[in-house]
Amino acid sequence: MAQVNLARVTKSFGETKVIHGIDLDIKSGEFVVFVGPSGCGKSTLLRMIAGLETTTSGDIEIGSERVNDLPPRSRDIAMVFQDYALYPHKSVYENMAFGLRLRKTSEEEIKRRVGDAAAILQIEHLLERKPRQLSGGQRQRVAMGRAIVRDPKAFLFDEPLSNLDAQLRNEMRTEIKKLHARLGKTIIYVTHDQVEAMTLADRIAVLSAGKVMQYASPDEIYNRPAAKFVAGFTGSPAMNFAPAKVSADGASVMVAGTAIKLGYPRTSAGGREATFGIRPEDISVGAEHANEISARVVVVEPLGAETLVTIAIGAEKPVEMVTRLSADIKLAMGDTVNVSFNSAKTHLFDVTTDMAITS
Amino acid sequence: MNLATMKTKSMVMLAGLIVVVNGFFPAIWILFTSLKTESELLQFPITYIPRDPTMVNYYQAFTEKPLHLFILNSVIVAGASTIITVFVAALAAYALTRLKLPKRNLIMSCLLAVSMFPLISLIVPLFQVMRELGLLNNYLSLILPYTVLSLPVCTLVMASFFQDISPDLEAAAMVDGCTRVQALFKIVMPLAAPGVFTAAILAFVNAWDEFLLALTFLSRESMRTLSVGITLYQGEFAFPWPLISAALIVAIVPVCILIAIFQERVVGGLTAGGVKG
Ligand SMILES: Nc1ncnc2c1ncn2[C@@H]1O[C@H](COP(=O)(O)OP(=O)(O)OP(=O)(O)O)[C@@H](O)[C@H]1O
Ligand SMILES: [Mg+2]
Repeated sequence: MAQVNLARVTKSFGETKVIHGIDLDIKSGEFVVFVGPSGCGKSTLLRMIAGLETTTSGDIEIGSERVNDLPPRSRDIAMVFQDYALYPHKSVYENMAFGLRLRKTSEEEIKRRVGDAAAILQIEHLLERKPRQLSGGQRQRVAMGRAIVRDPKAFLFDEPLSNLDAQLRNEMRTEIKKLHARLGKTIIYVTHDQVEAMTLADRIAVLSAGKVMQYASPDEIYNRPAAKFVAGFTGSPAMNFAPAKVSADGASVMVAGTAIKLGYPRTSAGGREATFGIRPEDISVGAEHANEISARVVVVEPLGAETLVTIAIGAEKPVEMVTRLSADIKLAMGDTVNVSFNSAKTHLFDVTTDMAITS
Repeated sequence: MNLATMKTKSMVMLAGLIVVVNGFFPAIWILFTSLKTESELLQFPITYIPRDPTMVNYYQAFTEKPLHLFILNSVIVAGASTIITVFVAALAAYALTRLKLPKRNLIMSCLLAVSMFPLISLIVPLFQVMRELGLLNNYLSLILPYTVLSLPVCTLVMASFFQDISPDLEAAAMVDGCTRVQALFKIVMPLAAPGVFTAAILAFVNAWDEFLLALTFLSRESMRTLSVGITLYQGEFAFPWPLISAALIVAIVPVCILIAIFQERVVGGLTAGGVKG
């Protein structure tokens, strides 16, 4: 078990800078997820922690030891790759035993550890097979088994579930969460799937273009996003954004010609333009909240348990917003309904910096 | 199976047969000749299948000239140059495919260019070099040039195989505890085995068959390699065809055995690059 610390870490490939000074502290036993859009540098950062990419500048510490100059084999970490990277010419047993053999572990000990890991992952019946004789989900389990037999200081996962179908992905996600609870090891997990991030993480680092936009608990990320990018990246469907004008006292905003009261005043932005944000589930039909507004129904998308309803508010320049309503509320395209916004859940972002305005 | 597929199938069989017969005819002819006596060979009308097969030519091939020494010399020269070639080519191919080398494509093109130098243009400078180094009539005078000559092609063959191996496999091996070199020999090489064997066979056959350098650099009779040694069986007035044929068969057989042993892997090796699986 070990904490992992990154301080002012940067990475350049030749002239191109892909990681721009990242500071992160990961506690011992913590499950941290790096999430962000494709190409934002998640894998690069993970591979730098593993020692598979050099660090251009800054310090990486694993268990309070600076590891910048250590090769991967000396960092005592294990990694699960997106394409599993199982050794095709070795049996499942030998795949799992490989790292132990390199460390001169006794044959009995290898047998015991591989057996234990196989039992945890329910792959005992597959030990004699070659990787090509396994299904995607089974390969995934073997890749995890190869990581856990080594009993490393930390686990690194690079999009381990992205090659699985939706149902298997959900199953394995639960397995990984259980595994973390059972082993209590530090895990750094890369994904571009915000659902994986929200469900698995103790803390999420949201990355964009080589920078950390916010590093906080899933709850914090979801309810108090520090930037428009973070707000737009989490939740499905994503948060609604609309151009707004903040009132002089900062207590409310004008969106599409309608006044909407904010949860608390933003005096710093009084009288300025800003971006207003609200999540689909924080808009309700009827007068549940204050801020009742008349809206037109544009699209209705029933999902079974709930219905996504796109509404348009404002007369001249209407703004469309997606709402998430109970399936009991029957609406049709073209209907006019009264909706209300939950003031406590409204967000405001700076137009130029995209950072949240919180005072 | 319908008629059309049966037809294509028989066409394929026919084409295969033509290739096989065409390739094997000279070898079979030599084999038959080696089993005939000189008098039967000169008979008219000619006989195809030896009427009275005899092993006497084989016996004579070994007694008239030190054929066993020729074989030994060839095995040493071809074997040593193959081992060195495969080892060096593996490292070179790995560097070419995995490291971020500047001007990688230029290096690859140069390799290809080097492999196209005609041997005859090298023989004079090489001879001088070998003489200066005092390596004439030393196995090294052949092992070194053969290695150099086989390296480009073997490197390119192996590089194309290494290219198909996911770099993540090495990454996994290095995280598991390998050094980079261990990852090459424990993971990459076994997976590229067909390529490694293809390269080895190419290097071995090149060295086994080579004549010009062997003739020039190893002039002492006891140092002759097979390809040169066989030409020494010349009678004063006539070519002893059956004798030469017997010696030729002795020269061909080891290569055939070698290829037969690795056949599956080599055939896999020669086709695998084309069809990515
Ligand atoms: N070896 C390399 N040479 C040059 N640029 C690279 C190299 N590897 C990655 N990059 C660049 O670095 C950036 C980050 O890549 P990285 O693979 O870390 O993205 P990612 O966040 O993992 O994306 P994805 O979700 O698609 O896997 C990309 O713009 C990529 O083009
Ligand atoms: Mg990636």
